[in-house]
Amino acid sequence: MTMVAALLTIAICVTAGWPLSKLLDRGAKLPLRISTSFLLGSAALGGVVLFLLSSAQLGWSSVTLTAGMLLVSAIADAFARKRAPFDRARITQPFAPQWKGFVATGIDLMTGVLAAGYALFATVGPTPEYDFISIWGVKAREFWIAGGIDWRFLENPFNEFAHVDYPILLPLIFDVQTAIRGSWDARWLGALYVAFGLAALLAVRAFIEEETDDSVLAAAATLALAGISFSPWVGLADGPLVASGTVGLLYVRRGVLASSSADILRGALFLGIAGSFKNEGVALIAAAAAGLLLTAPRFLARLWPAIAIVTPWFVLRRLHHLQTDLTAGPILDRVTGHLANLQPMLSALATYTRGKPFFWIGIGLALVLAFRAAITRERFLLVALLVQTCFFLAAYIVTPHDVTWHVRWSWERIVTQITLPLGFVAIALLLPLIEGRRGRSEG
Amino acid sequence: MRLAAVVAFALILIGGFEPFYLRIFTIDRPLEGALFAELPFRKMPGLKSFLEGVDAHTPPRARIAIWVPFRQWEGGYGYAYYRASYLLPGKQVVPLLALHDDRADFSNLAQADYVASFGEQLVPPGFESCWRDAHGVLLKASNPVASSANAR
Repeated sequence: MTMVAALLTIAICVTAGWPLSKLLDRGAKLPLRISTSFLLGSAALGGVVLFLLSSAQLGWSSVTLTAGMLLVSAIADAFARKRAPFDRARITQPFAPQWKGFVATGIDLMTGVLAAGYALFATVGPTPEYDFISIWGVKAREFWIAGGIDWRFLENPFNEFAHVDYPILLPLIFDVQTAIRGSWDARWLGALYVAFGLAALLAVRAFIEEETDDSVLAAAATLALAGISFSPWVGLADGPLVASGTVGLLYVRRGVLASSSADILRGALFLGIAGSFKNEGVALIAAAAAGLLLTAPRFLARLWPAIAIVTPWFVLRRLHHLQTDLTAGPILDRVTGHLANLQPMLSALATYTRGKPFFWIGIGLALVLAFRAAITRERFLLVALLVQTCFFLAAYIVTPHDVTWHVRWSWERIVTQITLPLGFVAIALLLPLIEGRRGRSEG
Repeated sequence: MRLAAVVAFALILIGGFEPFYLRIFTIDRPLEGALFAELPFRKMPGLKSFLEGVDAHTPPRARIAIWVPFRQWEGGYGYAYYRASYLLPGKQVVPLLALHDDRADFSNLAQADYVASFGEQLVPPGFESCWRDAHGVLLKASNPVASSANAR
């Protein structure tokens, strides 16, 4: 029953999001359609349906959730039907030799095996992550017991350890699954992380296929990015943030390259969802704005959906006096203190930067090999990721905690928030070189 | 240039690969699952079962003060307090250390219906033992306000 409830939750999220995805991007290929359906469906059920049920003081149950899902789907479907049918002729299927198809399928099977391995890891037991127990899981559990968003819990100073200022979309999505199951089950919440990881990977695959017609290269690129699409931090907000943030950035990138304001709007929607998972997602919206400012400033205003999505939480946070620890106390004193002595932060960054040296060498090499294309064609994404990295470092400069402790327990994890889009950029830069095409590589 | 690009691509593929997602097919998964369940509580053996007992012996919305033999938030007290909140859903945990300060603050007892005392028994006036296990004791307020206490 527990696994069934988890799979049912994912199916319900995809079903609820399908008409929303069609409404948003009628031309999306199947991998991108499935990816965006899950991301939109989970956000709509958690962030809209459960939120509205809670606000209306209606109980959370599989019945009220299903009613909400049907309502969301019906409204989106009605709007989608009103729009002119999409011209399928735009999607062309390039000719490829049969052997390439077999090789690509073989590589995709290897990716599938990795995904299955991740699924076993994510659901092997209840996640032991401290941040799940003290931040994300504790809120989801409290909300479930309260039958709605428990503002008294969030407002109580005895609970400030739970980072009550953090956006609550993730706990609400946990409660979507809990409502479907009818009781709390920490172990099978891990299935949601498999869905988020696959959503990220499917979207990346769809966008890579826009960069190359070679099915073997597309499959190999997907395999290369599989490991970093699956977040090892099950129960935390980083995996969902990576999925929605990456989809958002890649849509905006496509909008910049194709001069499509519709793609910028689509990207902004997913960036808004990313900002509803974690404060770094809000920073990512600002980073994307910086990227647009330096590449296509005329599209800057098209990020408005991202702002519109994250603003209500800031208003609620203020209304309920939910303080954030980073801005509490004498900020200026901390900033000047940390800036006057950067050595502990730099030393901690050097000490706690672990893993994936080959990956980072490969990224560096790609940027050097396709330097011109990097600063022209990929400028938006690279500026956005650079600015986001600066936000990460700025958090260490304003932190009220011991900076070494803060870096030790967050740096490796938050870097994964930019690893997937950065890996995508590197591969997008390498593909034309590998295929012997120069035009696209150099923008 | 093409060869260098292939090398860079290969480095990204190899570097991003997670061998653990293949190794997991060969590990003892039930054992791993049991280890995952206990991992967050391993530094205080008995804490999890004690708090589960406290949860079973207290009503919904109970306010439960947490007492453990540690007097520093980062030196053990926080470890128990944050986990208690997760294991006592629908109930409000109450700290007996001052917020942001490593000193006992028994004035918070006035906001508690129960005291869950783990590892070291606290005997606050106005509270009576109502349940115990091998690791601690649960005390229930017989008096609505209690403001001083002694640790034994």
